Amino acid sequence: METLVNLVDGFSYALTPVNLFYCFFGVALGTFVGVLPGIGSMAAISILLPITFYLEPTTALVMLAGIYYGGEYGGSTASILLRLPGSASSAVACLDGYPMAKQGRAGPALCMTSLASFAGGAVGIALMAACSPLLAQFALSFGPADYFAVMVLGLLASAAVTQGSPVKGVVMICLGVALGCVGTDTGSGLQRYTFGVPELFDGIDLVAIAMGLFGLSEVISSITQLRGGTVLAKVRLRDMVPTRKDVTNSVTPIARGSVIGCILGVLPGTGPTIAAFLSYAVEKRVSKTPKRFGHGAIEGVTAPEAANNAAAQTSFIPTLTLGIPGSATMALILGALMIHGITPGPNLMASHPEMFWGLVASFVIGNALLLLLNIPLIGLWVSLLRIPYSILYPAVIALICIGVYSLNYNTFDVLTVLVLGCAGYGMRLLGFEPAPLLMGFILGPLMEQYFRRAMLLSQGDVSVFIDRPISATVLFVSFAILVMVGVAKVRNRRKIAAVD
Amino acid sequence: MDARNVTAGVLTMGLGAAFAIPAVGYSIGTLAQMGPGFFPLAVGTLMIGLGLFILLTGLQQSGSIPLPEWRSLALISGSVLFFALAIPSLGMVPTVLVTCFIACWADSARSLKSMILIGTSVSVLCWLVFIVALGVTIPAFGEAY
Repeated sequence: METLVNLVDGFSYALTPVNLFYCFFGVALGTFVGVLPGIGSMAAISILLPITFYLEPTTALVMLAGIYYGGEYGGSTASILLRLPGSASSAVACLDGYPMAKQGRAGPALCMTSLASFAGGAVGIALMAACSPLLAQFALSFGPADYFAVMVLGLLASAAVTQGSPVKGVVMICLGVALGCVGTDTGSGLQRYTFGVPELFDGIDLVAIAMGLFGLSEVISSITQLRGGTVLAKVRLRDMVPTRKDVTNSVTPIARGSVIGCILGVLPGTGPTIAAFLSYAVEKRVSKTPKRFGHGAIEGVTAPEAANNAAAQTSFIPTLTLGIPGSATMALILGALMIHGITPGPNLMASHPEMFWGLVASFVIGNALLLLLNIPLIGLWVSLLRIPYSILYPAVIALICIGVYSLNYNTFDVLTVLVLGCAGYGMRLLGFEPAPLLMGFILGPLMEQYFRRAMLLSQGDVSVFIDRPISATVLFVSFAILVMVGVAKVRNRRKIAAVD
Repeated sequence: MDARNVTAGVLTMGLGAAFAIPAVGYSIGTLAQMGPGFFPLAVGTLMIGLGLFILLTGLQQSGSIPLPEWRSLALISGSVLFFALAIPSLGMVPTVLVTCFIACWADSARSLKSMILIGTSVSVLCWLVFIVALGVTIPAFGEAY
């Protein structure tokens, strides 16, 4: 009952003209960057970060979140029509979506993915509204040692699931944590790694890190790769009506996908991408006709779409109730809130109810808007796919430069982006993924604080991490992840050796 | 030998050392009373260890580093560098125009006409978004006051 009252309050915040406008702007922009291969929601959020400083924190959050889940809707369009995923989590949609498009069924595929996305999103939002207060209540009993343990788990899990080597993922986390140390130490007031440069006294700017690693280095590596494909078909609204069989075949898979997505969204490290891949694997396993998969099976498109949208919504739960982001995008959103002077945690719901419930309400509104944007207006997005990347990227460069310069009107920030962009590009070539670095950068200072506090309370006794049940469990799970990843690696190597 | 992993390992060790060595000078303290150097020293040491691991596995594998796209890298960096140097004195519109020009050049399949078209439209767009709509205090033309 209390949740309902809060939700009604939330709607009164979310429905103010300003919030409504930025919600619409966010989801529309999210769909736009989701549709276009080469620009992800991560880059879009980085580029828009400076603009959010002109907004109220709630409004900023509503917009940034809209870009994130809007991107999940848009991502599948390019997968289905071009076999070129618009975002990582919609790569699965290529497998059965593109064959459907080849069979002339692009319209129903696009329509069903939007419906599946909406269903998944709705389940995720319901879970968020119902569970967040409980989790926040539970989190009130967390001590510094527990927070430290949960952060370790989040970081390790995110390293374990990167595309490349997990060891390199851990290296990126460490580098992020180390870069997070740059600036004035909160405990002692000492300058660390600033070498007398006054621009570094407050630390490296989050915006510069995000723009360099996700904006600039992505542009550099995409220019030659994205020479555009040909769009298969013109999609008209009347071609989009799915058959009765499409709908009946999708209902249970969408439900299963939503559940998988909800769970993986809340867990640290996993997120929309893994949820989508897992739910595809599950559908193939439970299907009576697994041979249809890969040749245009509708449930191979709808279940993963439901899963990634459910995960996109529920990933806000740990970010807002514990203050611990499960993915790099969430870390960026957390960072944006911290720049606004708000530290998310178990007290957020009590101290800023308008922000939390306003955001939940904006999710409902945003998903409804996305359904309108993605079904009746699908033709618009399909024609956007014809914009070549070569026209877009100069604009992206200009937006990055002006955005970061307008932070402090200081060329130092622009040069930081340049250095980080080149470094990020070089690290991509060496097989390092930038996402764990960003998580380390944002969580690093918090981890140092919690670790220090835990050690101060226990008078230097490390066993506090094992004595406290929450921390012990969480650290045990982290350890288990490490062992599992290690075993999987050794097995893979043996397999390769056996083949040789 | 896998040149990619060997380079990655050496680089990681170098970066780890770059953070660990100054940390010693920041006073390490004890576990109960951690100094500002404690945490970065721990992280730097961990990086050195991980780098060594990557280096050693890289020595047993075989492979090579993928070649960088020098043209994209140089011209995109150049465009950002130009922006950083020019924005305080030239103002937004001319700076963005030239920045886009240099950036466009990174794509080898590009005509002069389209470069001018993109440059002009992007600078007008930026002027509309940042100066007119958001009220950013960068002058459209000329030096900042």
